[in-house]
Amino acid sequence: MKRDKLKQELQKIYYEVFDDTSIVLFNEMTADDIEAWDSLTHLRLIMQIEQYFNIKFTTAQIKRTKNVGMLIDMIEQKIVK
Amino acid sequence: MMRIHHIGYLVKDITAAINECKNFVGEGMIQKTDVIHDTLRLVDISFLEIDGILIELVAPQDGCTDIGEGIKRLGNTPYHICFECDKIEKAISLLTQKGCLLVKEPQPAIAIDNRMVAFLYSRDLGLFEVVEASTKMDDTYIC
Repeated sequence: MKRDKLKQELQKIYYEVFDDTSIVLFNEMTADDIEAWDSLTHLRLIMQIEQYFNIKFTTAQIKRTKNVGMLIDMIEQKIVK
Repeated sequence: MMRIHHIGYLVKDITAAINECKNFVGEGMIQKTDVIHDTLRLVDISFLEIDGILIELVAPQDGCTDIGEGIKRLGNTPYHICFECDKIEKAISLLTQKGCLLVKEPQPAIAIDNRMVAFLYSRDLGLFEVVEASTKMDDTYIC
């Protein structure tokens, strides 16, 4: 899956998790940019991503995802494998 | 087989929370531990027993980001149930196979006699904790 397409799919997941269709993802986006993005919502987000892309994150990776760009990188790597 | 071990209760002021419980429950409340300073997790903990149920009061210390963030957002509130299991690694393996996320790897918990605990997240149940059962014959981790 190309990165742009992946980002589009990820954006849909963000819409669903945060119940907000105004979110526009960018690589540097962090939890500071979305008010509802706290540690529990982050876990919901990760679960949705795992299910949608049929991938698994490690506990360390869940903590390491500091921004959207890193998240996309990790998804890309896992889809390629 | 997992059994409920305790209910985790997030509080800002642990002494005030203990006193409030005493006010509500009176002699029905037993304070099972003093306030324990868990320097690994940067939280203060005290166990209370009410009607046979263990309540773990958890208050974030300075620098505790995740719990600190929780108290800011949620205020004083119950926030997890802890299940006791026989072997924590086996329980984690089973739960992650069933789709749970392992949020915090197993670590010894000073407030529970250094038993191993881990946090997991379930899509349908949210955050929960697992604690390994004591291997001691006489389980007296609480005073």
